[in-house]
Amino acid sequence: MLFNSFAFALFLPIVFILYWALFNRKNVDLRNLFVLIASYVFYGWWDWKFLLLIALTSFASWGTGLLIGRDEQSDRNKKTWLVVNLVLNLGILAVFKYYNFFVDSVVSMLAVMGVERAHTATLNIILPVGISFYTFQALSYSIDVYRKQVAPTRNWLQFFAFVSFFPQLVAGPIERAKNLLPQFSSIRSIDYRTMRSALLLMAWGFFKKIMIADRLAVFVEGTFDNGASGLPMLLGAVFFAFQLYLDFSAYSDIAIGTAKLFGFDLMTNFRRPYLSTSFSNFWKRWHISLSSWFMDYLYIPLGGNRKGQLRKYVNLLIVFAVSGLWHGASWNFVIWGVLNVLFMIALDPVIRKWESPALLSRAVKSVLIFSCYALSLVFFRAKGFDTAITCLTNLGFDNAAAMTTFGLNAVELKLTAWLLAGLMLIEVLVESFAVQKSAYEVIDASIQKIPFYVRWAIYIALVLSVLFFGQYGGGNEHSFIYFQF
Amino acid sequence: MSKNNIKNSQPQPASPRKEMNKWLKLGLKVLVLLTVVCTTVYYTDSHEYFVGDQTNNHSQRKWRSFYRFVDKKKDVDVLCLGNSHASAGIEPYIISANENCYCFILNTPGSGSVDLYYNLLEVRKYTARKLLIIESSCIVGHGTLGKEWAKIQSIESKRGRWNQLSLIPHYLPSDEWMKAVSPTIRNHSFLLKDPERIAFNRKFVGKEKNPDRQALDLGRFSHGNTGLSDSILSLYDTKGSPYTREYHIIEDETKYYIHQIYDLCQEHHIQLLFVTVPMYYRTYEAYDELCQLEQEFFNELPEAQWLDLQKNYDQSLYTRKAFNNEFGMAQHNTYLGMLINTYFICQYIEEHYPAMLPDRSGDKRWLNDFSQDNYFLNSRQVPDKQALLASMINYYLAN
Repeated sequence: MLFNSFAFALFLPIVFILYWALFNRKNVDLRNLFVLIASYVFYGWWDWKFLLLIALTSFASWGTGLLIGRDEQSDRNKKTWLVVNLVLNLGILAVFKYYNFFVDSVVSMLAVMGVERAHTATLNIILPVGISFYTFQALSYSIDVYRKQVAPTRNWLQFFAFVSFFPQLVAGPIERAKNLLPQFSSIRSIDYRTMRSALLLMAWGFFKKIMIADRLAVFVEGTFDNGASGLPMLLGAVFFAFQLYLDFSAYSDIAIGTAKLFGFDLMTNFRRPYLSTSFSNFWKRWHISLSSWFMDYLYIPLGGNRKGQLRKYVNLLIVFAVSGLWHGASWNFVIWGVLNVLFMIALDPVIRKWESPALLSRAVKSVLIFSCYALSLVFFRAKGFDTAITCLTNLGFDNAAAMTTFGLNAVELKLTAWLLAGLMLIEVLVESFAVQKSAYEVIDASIQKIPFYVRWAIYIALVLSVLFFGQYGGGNEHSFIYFQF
Repeated sequence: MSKNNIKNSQPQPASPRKEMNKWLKLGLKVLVLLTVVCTTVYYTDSHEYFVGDQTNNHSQRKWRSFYRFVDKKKDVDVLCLGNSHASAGIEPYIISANENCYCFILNTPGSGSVDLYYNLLEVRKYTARKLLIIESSCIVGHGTLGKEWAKIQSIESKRGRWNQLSLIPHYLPSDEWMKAVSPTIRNHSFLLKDPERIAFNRKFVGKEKNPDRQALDLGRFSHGNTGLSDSILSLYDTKGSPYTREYHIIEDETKYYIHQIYDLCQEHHIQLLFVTVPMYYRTYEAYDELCQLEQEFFNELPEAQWLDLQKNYDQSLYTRKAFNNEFGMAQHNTYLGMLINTYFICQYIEEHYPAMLPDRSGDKRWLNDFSQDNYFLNSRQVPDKQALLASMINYYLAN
């Protein structure tokens, strides 16, 4: 079920009313059962058969968590159970997401070595939506139990609801058990202010998605998939960087806002990444839940930066390569990851030497980081290595006259540019004067100061703007980008 | 500090009543917001600001003609359904004139099997018919449930707002419902992409933008008259047959709707006849295989018949002039091709259903509708076989 779908528009109010009126009253288990059923309906709306997978992941992680958490278990046994869970869940992920990729890669490698194409069978498998997200969320629980950072829960309902909680099930944020799991052990409460805040956050997410991200997508598709060159291709690459950010951050906003409606707090997933002043800082602002997951469960266990500079770089390379692979079963994603770590290794020391708090220097650093990231995203977006190279070689400053032939006319391009500029201006102001807050919080606080009738006129104008100027329609072409991962 | 001061200095929690009032206020505000939005959309929809170009919307024209027709208490005897091959390949005026009956083609090009079923249900509300002809190209291939825009066009062609709304869930998935309900939501992009269309619509608000022809429109829509050119014919040599084996499929949902139609016909004593109007013979790859697939499906419908004009057609009759100058899977007939198809359909009706259709030749209204228009004589197309047209003309003149 997509957030921007008719089905969700019906699903959410029904679940919301039932939740607060009937189920979130006294009995926590009943409440969790309701959340679990609602989440399974949400996920099963796409394909009910894959509910078995998420149930299996939940059961395996819960069960092994109990076994790991038994005091009488030796460390060796605990490790064994952890490995069993890791192998099972990563194995499921590998089969559904990476089997064909590995087979094709091996065949290609053998061909390069002169070995004739062996008889191989690829599987005709549909990738279950959200499998990368909920698998990582379940695994983090097992690892935290092993590390004794989280106590294993005996309550399977609580755990199943934690893994499948519908606002963040299909595209994150990837929650940690120590943050989200305890919230399922008590009756939730909400007040008017939180409700208002949740609705505004969701509205902000929908605004970013419908008004900006989906319009950018039209141009990006036109340039990347139709062999654009010159300025249109360059703009396509820039637009894709914004499309990805806005699309994904919009999803996260809607997910966080939706969870808030039910009294749950999720972690922030984006914090103005395109205003970063170093590459390492960028990865603390972009897809924070995934970056921190890899930091805690891969980078640090590999040794982090504790074993010398060279080892640190190797560890970073491994983490970013795996992170790239997490996004998709394609060497393009691996190249994207590797490019980013190379940028970090090569440019961060240079950037760090340029110590100046002045606005201009910060702006230059941000533009540099954005440019490098946008270049790496060409591999992320292009369908295949050759296409990515073609897109990169086609970047230029000529061919401006063809700008309006890639799906957006001049008026739409101008509107998009103004909206992007407005959004970035808001982010710059928030970064400069209210760095601890998010953009929508600042907007909300500012709007509260103006008279009620002016405020509501603005709300109505914004809703009508989205209605008349938004880029929307049915179908998968307007689904969120990260649903494919 | 006294206890009273301490008590007064602490923030007082909101009373349940105040909290409830806040919730009610929020609910009211959301309701007001929704009302404003819905009212705006209703206003723009009722004034048709965002309606697309209807010049070529022959679907709507023929349905309006049909409703005018049945409002005068006239009956449809032969109903033709299908995609664009039906309206481009069958001449309803000739069937009507030849068989002394009323024949309508009520189709929306691009729509599919779900549209066949609901079109039949819609017609049944107003009139009973004896013979249902379904052009079979809408049954085979991929995407035979129809294109979204065609479905919306078909829905909008029906009479009655509630009727249209009730059809939407049958035709479209839930994510498309709002687009089907509201032209504003569907075509809101006109504001940025086609503001001239909105200006045109505003100019003609309240006035008929595309006045319907009051003449009887039986649903024919000819696609062209030029026949296949040498350059198009050469594409068959260079590119091969466009209708490949990949499209030799009848989708499950289409089978379901055809079965539904068959059951309805059985229940109401309507004869079901499938007709395949031909495309240029080189268009199909391995037509025999496709033919077999269709035959196996039609065998599940024992009371229905199939007139296959494609298989082994007479190439001296169906010359290149019988096919529109297009290379692809959706190649249509020219008007000449349409005449030839209709000849064979009339022949089939006379051979297989000799007493099925009512004889309206004594009906003054029927005579008024058909005796003044000489569809054959007005046609500038002369087939290669003169005798064919001559016999049709003679039959028409004699009756």
